[in-house]
Amino acid sequence: MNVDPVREFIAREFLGGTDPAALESTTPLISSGVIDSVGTLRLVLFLEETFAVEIGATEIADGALDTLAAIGLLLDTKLAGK
Amino acid sequence: MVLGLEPGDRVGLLLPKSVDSIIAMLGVLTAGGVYVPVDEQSPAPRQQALLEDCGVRGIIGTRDTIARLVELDASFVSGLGFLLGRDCRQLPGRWHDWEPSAQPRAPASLPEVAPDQAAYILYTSGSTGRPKGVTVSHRGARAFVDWAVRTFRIDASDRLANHAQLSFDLSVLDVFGALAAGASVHLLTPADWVRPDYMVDLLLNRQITLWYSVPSALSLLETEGGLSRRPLPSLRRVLFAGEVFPVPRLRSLMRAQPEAQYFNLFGPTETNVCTWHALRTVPSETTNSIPIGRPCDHLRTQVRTATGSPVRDGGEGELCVAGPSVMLGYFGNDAVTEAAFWTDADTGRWYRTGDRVRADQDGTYWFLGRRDRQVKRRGYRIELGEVEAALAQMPGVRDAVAVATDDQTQGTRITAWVAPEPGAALDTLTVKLHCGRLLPRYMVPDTVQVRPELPRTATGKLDRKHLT
Repeated sequence: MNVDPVREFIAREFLGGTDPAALESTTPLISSGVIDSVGTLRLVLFLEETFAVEIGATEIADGALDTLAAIGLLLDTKLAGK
Repeated sequence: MVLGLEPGDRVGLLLPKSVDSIIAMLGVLTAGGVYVPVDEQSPAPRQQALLEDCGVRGIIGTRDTIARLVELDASFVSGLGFLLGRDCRQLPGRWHDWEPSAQPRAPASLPEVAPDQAAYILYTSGSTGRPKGVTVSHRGARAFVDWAVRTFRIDASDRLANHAQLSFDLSVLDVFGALAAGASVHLLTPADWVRPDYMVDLLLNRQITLWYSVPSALSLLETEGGLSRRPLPSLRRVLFAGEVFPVPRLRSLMRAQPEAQYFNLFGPTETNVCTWHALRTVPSETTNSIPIGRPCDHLRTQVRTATGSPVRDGGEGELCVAGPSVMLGYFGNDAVTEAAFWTDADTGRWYRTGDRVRADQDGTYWFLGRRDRQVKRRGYRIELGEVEAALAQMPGVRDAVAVATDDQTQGTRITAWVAPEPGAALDTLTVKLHCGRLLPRYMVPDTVQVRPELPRTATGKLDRKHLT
């Protein structure tokens, strides 16, 4: 999964337009406070709308959105199941 | 007691919110101990600092939460009197397995617990960078819970939703209010908070009768959870506290769920709720703010000037509170405790809240602001000095200041203004990641502004007015 759209969304919405390339695939996003709880909701809504998937509360709790790598894996799994 | 817990011993709780965490709280209290709930998602250095600050005898945790502490400082964990958890035997330290027993045994005798003995310690942000351990007695907790059960008529038929973290004082009402009244309490986890639509499902399906949270959580239920399209016939009381509820949002909520009664609760962790106000009608379009109400009937309040003189006739001043639910003090911090109180020979010991208020002729209070730099963000209390202390520790930072701004749609936002050392490269991502390693997530600045110099006044002090 190419997560560049997600990378660009996060850089634009939560990092004041920081160069998206600065976000590594293993940079912690939620556990580090880079994205707060309201921001996490915005991220979930973005992913659901952009990739036409549904993301549950347990997946968020399990750290499935904490890095770009994890988000890519989650999207791969969900899209493969369609 | 099998763990060697002595009355008055502090026990850290490093557990995700669950039935286990409630059992742990009750177990510690029953053994005469003092429970210290620590946000299991906050950075490990901060967790260890809190646990060391109050000298915990042991920790009740999980394999994951303890492993994070071990990774940081295995000697700290090994030196504790006990560790209690499930499936944790491979970790260092004096482990005891927490296994559910089919036939739980009550100890032969339970220790006597005096009313003035500490029951729990909740840590709040400290302006110097050192969090403060608000220590509350059994008498204090009991007085508050009795008041809440009596005032909101909580009984065995009620189903309460617990939204707040257990390290946050709002949880005392949900958890102990429900237990005292024989009601049920439904625990909501931080993952649930992210999906307001799921929380509305839960409110509906579990027929929740009483909700208590910060206003921003309620606003999310309404704006993102579809609350206005989904009547909740079981919901009878909606309580909110911890921050100012923007009136347009409150109006919208009350119109969405017109059958419920709405209550504005007010008070710091040091007193728990000290004033409250029942909203009889939906605020009109011209209403800008709602009162924080009148004192709880187990407490006394008065308004005083900065020099300690009483304020009368609707003047502004600092709200001071006396009575059983006022904290014992900040654990191990006598100087800060002393500064937080003043004692009157005739009327006793008064806690100075730091909140600026004025009173109507009928004694109803209105909140005007703080007399210091403390802010509330989604109900969490933040001393900007603690954010600045974290920024100052970042390599490459020469100068830093944290500024809070109010945003009617997103609430309080924190901006970190930083000036780098010559040659140092700072950006939003690295500053946020640094803060996230030291501070709880709710204290991590929303935005970061990097400037070669921060503005200063003629006397050389940081000029915060020009940082907006």
